[in-house]
Amino acid sequence: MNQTTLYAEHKALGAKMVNFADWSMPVSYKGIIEEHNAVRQKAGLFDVSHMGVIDVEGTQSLQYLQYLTVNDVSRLEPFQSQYTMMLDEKGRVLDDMIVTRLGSRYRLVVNCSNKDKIVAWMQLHKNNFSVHLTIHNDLNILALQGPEAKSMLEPLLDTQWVGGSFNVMYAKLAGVDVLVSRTGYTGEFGYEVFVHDDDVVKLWRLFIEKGASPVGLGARDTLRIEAGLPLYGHEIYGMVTPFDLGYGWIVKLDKGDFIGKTFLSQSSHRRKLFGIVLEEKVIPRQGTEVLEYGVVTSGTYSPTLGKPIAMFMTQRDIPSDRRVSVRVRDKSYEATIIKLPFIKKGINKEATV
Amino acid sequence: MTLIAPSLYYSDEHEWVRVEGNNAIIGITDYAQDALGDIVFIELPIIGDDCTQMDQVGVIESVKTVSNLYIPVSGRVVEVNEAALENPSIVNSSPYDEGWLLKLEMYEPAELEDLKSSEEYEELISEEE
Repeated sequence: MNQTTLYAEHKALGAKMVNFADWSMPVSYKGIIEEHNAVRQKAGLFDVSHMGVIDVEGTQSLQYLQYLTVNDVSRLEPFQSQYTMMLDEKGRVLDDMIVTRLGSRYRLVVNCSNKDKIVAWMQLHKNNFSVHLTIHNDLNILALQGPEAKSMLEPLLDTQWVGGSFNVMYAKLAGVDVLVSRTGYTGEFGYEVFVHDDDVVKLWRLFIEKGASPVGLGARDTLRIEAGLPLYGHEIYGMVTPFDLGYGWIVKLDKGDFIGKTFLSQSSHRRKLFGIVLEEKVIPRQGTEVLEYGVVTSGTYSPTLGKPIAMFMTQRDIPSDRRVSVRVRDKSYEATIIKLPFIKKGINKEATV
Repeated sequence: MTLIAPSLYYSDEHEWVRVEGNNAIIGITDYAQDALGDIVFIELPIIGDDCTQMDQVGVIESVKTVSNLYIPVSGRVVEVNEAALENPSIVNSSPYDEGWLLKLEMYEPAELEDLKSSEEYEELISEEE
């Protein structure tokens, strides 16, 4: 298994480790619920260095990325990011990702589980473009998320933070060179910090000293489900389209040709993601049948609501508060439809480019 | 380091048994609660239920997973831990004490011999790690 540079730190903190896409990653430290609540109430610190970081340089970087992704990369100002997806010719989603325009190049952050697939796909398609790819194995990513993240991080910067959600900035953080990004996967205000191998332990320990709680993959999942955020392999799979997921706004059909455009132009709004909340003492996990509507894509216990919650996709429209039945271990349980997200998000939720 | 209480019996499914006269008090081990993580829901049999050794009689659900509860010795359920049903986190914090799950009147105390001693259980979990 692969290990991030912070592996020894996780072990020293007593983390329970798990094999995640062939990486040894912390699933929890003090406990999923405690860590989850720390992010919602104070600040949590995640090591997400297992994710894939791919830089694209060259005179045709923009054209290349326009061709490979659904969103309009030309609308990015320098040091701005956008959420996007890469599709294949048939319209199948290969991955969802963040694309950032840096000074003279672009940076992609992709799911760990899809990194090899995306790298191969990008290599396959780069022959028609004057571009050069760099796969960064020397960069770590720390995510600092929560209402106290701002007061914890910004005083450590050597320059004033400029911009809002989805902006990035090169800076020195506690004297260390970093790229700070106003992004996250928790539904809270937060940052993702790119830092080199030599400096990551120092920053990890510094944030913990300042009161950030180490948070593992277990709480990462409960947090993103509460925030109604999709995950590849759960909400994003097979022929599901960005429209199905409620992300039609990232598809820019008028930007020119891109892989999957034909499929998307012809596809109509076929499915929709809904949430359910249960008053019962059972968690409807991925694969659980929601009778007459569909199947759960992600389910968990919501520490914030104190109840089981789940997301599912269906072709039918369902009004909020409608009661539905879920089938768990051969018994039926009642659930109530809720419009996503489950919690009111802390971050500015307005759609960016 | 996982806690193992020396005077208890242990099952392969990570349950413990404390004998009190003809009764068996049953719970899950420290190893089990640690592996499960934060327990949120517990399903137990009801008082009066007949249980046969190795039956799956309940469910322990944590945030990340669901685990079956098996009965290590046969008997009739005489008591269940309501406090644990109300507040499952006590099974995490006190698996051998406040986090006990159910009490049975044993049908066949000889079945205790099928279970492991604390040393044998310690061996089992060191192999699993």
